[in-house]
Amino acid sequence: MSKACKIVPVKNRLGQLLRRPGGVSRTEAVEAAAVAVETLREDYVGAIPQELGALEAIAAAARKKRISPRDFEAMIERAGRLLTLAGTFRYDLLEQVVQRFCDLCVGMLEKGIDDAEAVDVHLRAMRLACPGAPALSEEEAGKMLHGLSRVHAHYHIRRLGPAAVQADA
Amino acid sequence: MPPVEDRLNFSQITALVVDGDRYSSGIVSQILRGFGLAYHQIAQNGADAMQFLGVEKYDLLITEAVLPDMNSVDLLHWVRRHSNPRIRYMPVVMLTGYAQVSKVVAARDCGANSFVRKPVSPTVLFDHIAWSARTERPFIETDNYVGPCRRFKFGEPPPGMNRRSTDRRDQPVHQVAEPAAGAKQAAGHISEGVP
Repeated sequence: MSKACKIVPVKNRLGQLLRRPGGVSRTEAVEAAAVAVETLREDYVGAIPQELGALEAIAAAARKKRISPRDFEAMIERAGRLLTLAGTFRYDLLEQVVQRFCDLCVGMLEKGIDDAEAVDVHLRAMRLACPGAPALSEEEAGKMLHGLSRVHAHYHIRRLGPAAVQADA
Repeated sequence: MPPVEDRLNFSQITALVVDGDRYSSGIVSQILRGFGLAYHQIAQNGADAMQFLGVEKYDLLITEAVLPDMNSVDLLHWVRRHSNPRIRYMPVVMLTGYAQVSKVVAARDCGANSFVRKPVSPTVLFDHIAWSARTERPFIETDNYVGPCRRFKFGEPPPGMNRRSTDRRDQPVHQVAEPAAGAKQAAGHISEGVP
C-alpha cells in the first residue's frame, strides 16, 4: 500500500546557472555545436563499414541459418550505433535501411521467427547504402526500399502501404 | 540580436554523459563543447557514472537508456534516492536509441526529466536543456516513484511533443495523473532526434 505522496519544491539550479548574464543564443549554440560535431565526420563515417562488418559477423555466425533471440538483441544494439552515425552525418538512405533492419529484428523477435535470409537481405542493402559504395539513383534506392518492405510484409511485420501495393500490381 | 532572455549561459554548467556507445557519447560531447559547457565527463557505464557522481559535482546528467552493465532504470533509481540533494534532484535527460516503448516507460517511471531520441542533434538537445532551465517542477516522492512532477501545468511539455502525426493538440496526452501511466503517454514524451 502506497503512503501519501510528498511534494518537494526544488530549486532549479540548472535554470539559475543558465540564466546568468552573457551566454549564447540558440542559433549561436546550435551552429557552434554543429561545427564541433562535424570535426568527427572523417573518423566516424570511416567507422561505418566496420560497424556493418560487426553486424554481418553476428549474422554469419548464426547456426544453420537460424538466428537466436540473443543474436537479434546483439544486432539491434549494434545497429543502434549505425543509426546514430548515419543519422548524424546525413546518410539518409543508410539510415532508412538500418531503421528497417531494426524493425525487422524486433518484429522477428516478437513473432519468434529466426530465418537468417531476411536479415541477410537487409545487410546487403546496408552495404549498397554504405559510404564509399557507388551512389544509387533515386529509382534504385526506391526499388531497394520497396524490396525490403516486401520482406516485412512477407513476415507480417508491417503491411505494404498503398503506394507499394500499387507498385507491385 | 536576440533578446537577452533567449540567451543561455553554459559557462558554469557541468554535465555527466553516460553512454556505452562511443560514437554517441562522442557526438554528445562535441555538442556540449559547442554549447560552451564549463566541463563534462563521459562515463561508459553505470558503475563509472555512480563513481563520478559521488566525487564530482554535476548540474546535468545525460544518460543512454540501455547501459552495458546495468539498466538506466537502476542508475536513475540510485540517483533519485541519493542522500545528497544535488544528485537526487539533478535534471536527467535520457537518450533512447532503438528502444522498445516498455524500456522508455520504465525509465520515465524512474524519474527522468525528459527523453531525446537518438541520433541527438544540437537543436533538440539545446531545446531540452532550455526547457529544463525554464520549467519549475517540484519533485514527487512516493514509495514507487521519486522524480520530477509529470504534470505540465508548470510549463509546456518538452519540445517535440507536436511533431508526430499522432499528437493531437486537443488531447491532454501529457497530463499524467499517476506515476505508473501508460505506454502511449510515455512514448509521447520522446522527442525526435532529427530537427
